[in-house]
Amino acid sequence: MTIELPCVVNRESIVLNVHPMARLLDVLREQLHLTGTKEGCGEGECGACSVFINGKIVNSCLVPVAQVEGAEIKTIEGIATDNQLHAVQQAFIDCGGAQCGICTPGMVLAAVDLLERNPNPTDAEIRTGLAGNLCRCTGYIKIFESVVRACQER
Amino acid sequence: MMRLPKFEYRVPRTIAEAVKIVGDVGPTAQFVAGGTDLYPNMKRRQQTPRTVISVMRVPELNQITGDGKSGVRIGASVTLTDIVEHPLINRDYPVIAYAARTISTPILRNMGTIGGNLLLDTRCNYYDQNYEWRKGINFCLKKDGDVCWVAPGSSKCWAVQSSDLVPVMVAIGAKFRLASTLGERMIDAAGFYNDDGIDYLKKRPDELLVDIHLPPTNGWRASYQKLRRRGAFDFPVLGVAAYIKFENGRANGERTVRDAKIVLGGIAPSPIQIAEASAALIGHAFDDEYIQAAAEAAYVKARPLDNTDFVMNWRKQMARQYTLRALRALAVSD
Amino acid sequence: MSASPNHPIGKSVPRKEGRKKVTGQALYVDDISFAEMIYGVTVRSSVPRGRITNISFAGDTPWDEFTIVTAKDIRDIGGENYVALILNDQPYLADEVVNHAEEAIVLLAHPNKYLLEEARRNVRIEYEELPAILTLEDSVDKKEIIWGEDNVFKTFLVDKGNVDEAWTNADLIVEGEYFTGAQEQLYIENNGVIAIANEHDGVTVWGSMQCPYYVHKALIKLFALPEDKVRVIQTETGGGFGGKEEYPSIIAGHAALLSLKCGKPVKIIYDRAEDMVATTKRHPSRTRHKTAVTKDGKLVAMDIEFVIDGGAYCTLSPVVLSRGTIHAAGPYFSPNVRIRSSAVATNIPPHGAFRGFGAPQGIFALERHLDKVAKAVGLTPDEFRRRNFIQQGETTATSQIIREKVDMAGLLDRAFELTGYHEKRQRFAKENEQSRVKKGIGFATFMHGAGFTGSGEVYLASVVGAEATSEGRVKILAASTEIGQGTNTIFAQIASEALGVDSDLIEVAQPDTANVPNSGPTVASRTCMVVGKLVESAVLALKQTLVGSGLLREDYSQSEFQEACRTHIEKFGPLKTFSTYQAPPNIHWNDEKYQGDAYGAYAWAVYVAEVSVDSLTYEAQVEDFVALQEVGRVINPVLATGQIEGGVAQGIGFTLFENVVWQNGRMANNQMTNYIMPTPADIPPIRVYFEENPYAYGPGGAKGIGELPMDGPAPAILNAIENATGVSFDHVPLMPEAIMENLTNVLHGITL
Repeated sequence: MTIELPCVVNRESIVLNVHPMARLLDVLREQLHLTGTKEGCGEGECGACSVFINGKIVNSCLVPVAQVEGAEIKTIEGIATDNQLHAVQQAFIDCGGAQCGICTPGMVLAAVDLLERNPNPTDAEIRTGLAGNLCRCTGYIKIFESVVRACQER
Repeated sequence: MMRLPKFEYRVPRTIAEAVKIVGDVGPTAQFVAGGTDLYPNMKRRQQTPRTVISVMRVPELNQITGDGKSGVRIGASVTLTDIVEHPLINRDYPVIAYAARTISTPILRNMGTIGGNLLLDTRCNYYDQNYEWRKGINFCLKKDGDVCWVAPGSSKCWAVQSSDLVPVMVAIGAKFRLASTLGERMIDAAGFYNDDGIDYLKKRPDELLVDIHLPPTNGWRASYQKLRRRGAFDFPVLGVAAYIKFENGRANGERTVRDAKIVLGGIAPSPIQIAEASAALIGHAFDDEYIQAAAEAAYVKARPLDNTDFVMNWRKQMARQYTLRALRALAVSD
Repeated sequence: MSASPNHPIGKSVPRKEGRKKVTGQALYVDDISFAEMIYGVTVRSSVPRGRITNISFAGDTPWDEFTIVTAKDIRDIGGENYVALILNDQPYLADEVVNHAEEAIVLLAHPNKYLLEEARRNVRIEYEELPAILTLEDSVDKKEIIWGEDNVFKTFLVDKGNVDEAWTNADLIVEGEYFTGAQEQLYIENNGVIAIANEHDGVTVWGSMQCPYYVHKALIKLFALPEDKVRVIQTETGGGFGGKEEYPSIIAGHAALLSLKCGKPVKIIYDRAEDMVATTKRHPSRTRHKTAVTKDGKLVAMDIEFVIDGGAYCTLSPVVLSRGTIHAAGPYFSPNVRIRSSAVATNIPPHGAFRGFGAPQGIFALERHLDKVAKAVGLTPDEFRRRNFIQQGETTATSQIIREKVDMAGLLDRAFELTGYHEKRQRFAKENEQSRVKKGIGFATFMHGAGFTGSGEVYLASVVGAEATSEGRVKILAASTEIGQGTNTIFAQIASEALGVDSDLIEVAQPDTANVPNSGPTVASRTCMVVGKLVESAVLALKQTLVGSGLLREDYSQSEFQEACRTHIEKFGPLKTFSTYQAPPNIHWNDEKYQGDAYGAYAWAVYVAEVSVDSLTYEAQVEDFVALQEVGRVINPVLATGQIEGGVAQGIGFTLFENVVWQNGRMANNQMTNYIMPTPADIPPIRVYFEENPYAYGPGGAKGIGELPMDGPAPAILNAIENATGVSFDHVPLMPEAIMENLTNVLHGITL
């Protein structure tokens, strides 16, 4: 059983034909081929599957797609505009914020979210702001530096 | 590759519609709000509803109304982030904002709701496992098995109440409004939780938690202290809510405690109210001697089991320290 | 000399695949699919040891739609049912007996992932359980013989001087016993592969892995195929840390078995819980020290017994044991050293490679123990070490003469300056008397050998190729994988420096056994130092070919170089050069006696940790961490710093957070909720400093750094905790519960 479900993904209006209980993560990856959104744990603990729904960052592995009817979704693929990297993305490149890269899409979104809500976060605010995303490569230090750099560049 | 099993997904727009669906479908239906507790449990087949009724699109469940003078109502589907950021809650009920802020992570607080946190499934090392792992131990009393592996002789399930907001709600005397096709009822937070890891709520399956009524802020103050390993993610393995109300006026320059409550979470199937701690504080000046006595009472009554992270003895010891912290936090803000 | 002013070595050239990673364009194995592809899952044992008495396929699952593979299928194709590695004792699929929980028994494939998960639940396996050994101690005590004749996979003996005779020359003998626990690698990308196998083309595998040629070797045996019928391609890999060194051979074999049977591409991606319970972890260890010193604090003899828990099968345990053994005596000179080590079997899922590879375990024990020895002899921890640091020209435990310049005392001075060590030591002692929160500062001094141990590199005989394209670009051909540590970027920097052309002109080929030579596994801190050197020599050979053919003069510009490539290819066809490993001069190793030049080069380091311990809650926290190391020349400061920071964070996890809870041989805390890895909220400032001392045989002077940062945190932190509390702890992970147990007595009276 599938349903037709209108929504907006990365600024484009689309109608999905989906099982309502499919995870948003799987729909993005398998149906829309937006594979930048990653699965690390499948239970909301690692943040690799982060996406924006109506401007709020959520774990797409815990969202049945039926929940996003009419919603505006933004994934890592929608962060750069016209080939121009977002300041956060550029900072991750410059400061070494990405190593293996698997947490990077989620981490970039969390950083973008943080800076949208708080353009000049303190060190402590950066740490708590990114606390829903796990990274095993960097020890987070270069990620914190990337966020600080992105603030300076904006 | 953890995927959700097949289920029917319903999205009612009103409370009446929501309770009608659950009434019609019966016990195989379950309400869901943010899904941060239910969906992982469904993936691991700990919970197996066949119809899931999302209450996120019911506008009445999504509001915060009132103020500290008259009391505040928080709709069950209000997200934890909205509570953490709400100016009124921060001003009049800082303990609620604080406790909500300690829950999980920023991302999960965007999804998780206050209702979901108050109804959180009880947790246990033998239960919060995937199907294959539980199959390997022949399952447990809480789901699909006959034995409680925490206390193998026990006829009762010892899974743990693991919400940060529950002890706070009990301590401050919040009330919950429930609705079903049979009508509405109000129930005190203090009487809402059973000391049984399976049947841990007074809520019937056909009842919907509609909203949470916070009492007026007429002079009481409350605090919350959470024990966990990390600065994020972790469920409380001990949560201490403290509530104090003073007599009007002062005796010998000191204010006398009129009412006091200490409620421990994260160590038993239900929140544990420490009557001896209240007794130790009520009628006395709020000074360290009585605070220590209250903390001692909490220590004596805290009997955590070996079914969450951390060993029991340490958690028991921490009940004293965290009660001290929670009470002292109320003293300094005098 | 080249005409280009290009000297990228030493510069923080941005990560080569960085843009792909920050935009979500990088393709990991789960991002790839093929037409007709179906999915595979693994059915595993639920008992630690037993005989399989029955397998049944129950429930309402439409079993005729499923591809089902058991050990019998391997027999039917004439393959070998073992994972080819060292002892070849681990079966691909358990046949009759299981030796650990979570051992693979049955494989299932189906196009529908939902049905597949339901089907896995409907496979019923019955066992006759056998007594199991679940701890290192029980294995050593031979409570039950579960492997071979004595539960022992491997032993080593390092024997320098004469320890037994040395005891009489000692003024003081100090003993100690130390333990480390298992640790999960917890890369954020779980293990996964896609396989296409058929009788005509053989087997092709795409996957997340560190060592394509390990997988290649294993699949050749499993399918009884010639080398050229097995092809292994590494996809973008979301972290490894050793966890994708040997394990991918198993999952690759499983997917390929399913694919061969059903005739379709098969993808297996583990979910998190499966990856945690079933795949390898760091070896738990026990180390016993007996140390003889003179009254003025000179080491006379070190007698070390080092045991690691290898789990149910041998896998890489002998190699892990080897590195652990050699590092167990540290950067000190002692005339007499004996190290007796063994890797023993338990009925736990096999332990395997994890960053540091045995060294962190041994170094933890040693650096804790030396604080104890210092105390016994009446010296400060730093003064005691200063009197024993190895000097240029002196010999290590394996009697290797240190020929390179080494200055551990100088490193220690600088580390103390960076941290204000002495001032803090005094101040904390004073402040702690009055304070509920006790502060402390401690350090560890250590070395880490880069590359394979002993004659390992000679046996490997790694090869790297360089290929010119007609556009005048140069492609590096190597099987060394990019797993986040920066392989692509530093190879490009090394080649660019050697050729004097822009690093943009350098491409690093995707590791694919059909296209790249075997440059060895991506392990052992060898990629930069050993393989990087081969990259350098391969591109220099390419340049020499161009010069030798008269198409390029010695002093050239970038465009002349490109032109020469183009012309050469037009005239003579494809232009490829290869370089094969050659040991630096004067490297000798005796495998029998375990004596000689264990490693071509060592990195040297001093790590300092500052901690606070709450005397009421017994929680220990790292407040500041300084990592100072001499690693030869730093090729890329941002990448190198990132490596160290990440390793230190993992080391902090190993020390204070990451406790694997075992229940009847199964990992109980198999989720990110309850396996406690540090979050952004839990990491202290980590300050990284390098001392540069170019190594003559490394590319541009570089040595290896990948594993080094895992060695220092555990002992530095526990030494600091002893400084804060006055209590000495002998095991990691160190949880508040353990601190409470030991502290309550000491601090009694001020706990409230």
